[in-house]
Amino acid sequence: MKVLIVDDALFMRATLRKALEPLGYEIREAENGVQAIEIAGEWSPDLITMDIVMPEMDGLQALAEIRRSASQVRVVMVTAVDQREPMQEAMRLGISDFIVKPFDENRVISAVDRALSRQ
Amino acid sequence: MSRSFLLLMDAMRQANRQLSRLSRQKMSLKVVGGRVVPLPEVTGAIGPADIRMCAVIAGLYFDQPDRPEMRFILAVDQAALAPLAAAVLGTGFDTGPAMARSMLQEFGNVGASAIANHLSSRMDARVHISAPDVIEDTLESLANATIGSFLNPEDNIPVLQTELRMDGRTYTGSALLLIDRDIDQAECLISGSVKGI
Repeated sequence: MKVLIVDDALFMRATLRKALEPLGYEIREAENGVQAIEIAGEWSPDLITMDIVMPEMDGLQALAEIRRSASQVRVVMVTAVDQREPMQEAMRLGISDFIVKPFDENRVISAVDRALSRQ
Repeated sequence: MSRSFLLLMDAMRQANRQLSRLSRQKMSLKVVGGRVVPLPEVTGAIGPADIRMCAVIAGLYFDQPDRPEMRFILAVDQAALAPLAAAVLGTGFDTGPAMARSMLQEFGNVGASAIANHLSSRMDARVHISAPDVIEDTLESLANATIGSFLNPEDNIPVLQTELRMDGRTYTGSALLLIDRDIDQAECLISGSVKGI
């Protein structure tokens, strides 16, 4: 299974890779929404973990764009933004789960496993 | 101004929670003091003027990214970054300067978001935060450049003093919340937002 990690923070990408790679997931990373769209188009991940606040293009804009071509990809939001409006927008875009920081690795692992088991 | 302290305390609580959930090593991050000081006294309230600090600066805004109503600043002794990154990520990962700065940036993001989330809940409106910047410099230069450019010299600033204890060493840190006094809405927001903390 292929997982694309999208976060502008190198530290967050490393933390999520550290949690998911040992479980056998193939990992690629993007550091903003523009890169996420490019990689999602060429690599066709099974799941995307997506931050919201990022430079260049935020996670919600990127997700809306990705949905145009990859409508079935599973998406788990991993973000510190815990506000009604962006959460509703993410739900409208068909995310599988919404994880608010502070988080622990087990929460992310279970969300990813659960989202992919629904396929 | 005490309301600003409550928001700052909650921001530090959330950043500490993220730190403890990811860390594999015993450490403690404590708030050891809080003061409201005039701008010219900020440096003295945090630590020695020549200590090298690493600071995360995030703007909070409602609709104009180029004119944030508030700024959240989380600063730590630069010497703490490398051991902190190693403690959190463990072996097998690059824990060099770029990774260490990114880690602090993320803790600052969690803290700033905690404040934005509280304000959003009370306002029932979206409160944005900017992607946090990371700056390394002496404490005095940081205070002059980042705070002095945002506030007037006569403004008072809430400052939380923190201590990070790890491997038998204690590192200085600080959290600040700057409110643009030209925008009345910001102070009104804080007045109404802290009841739920």
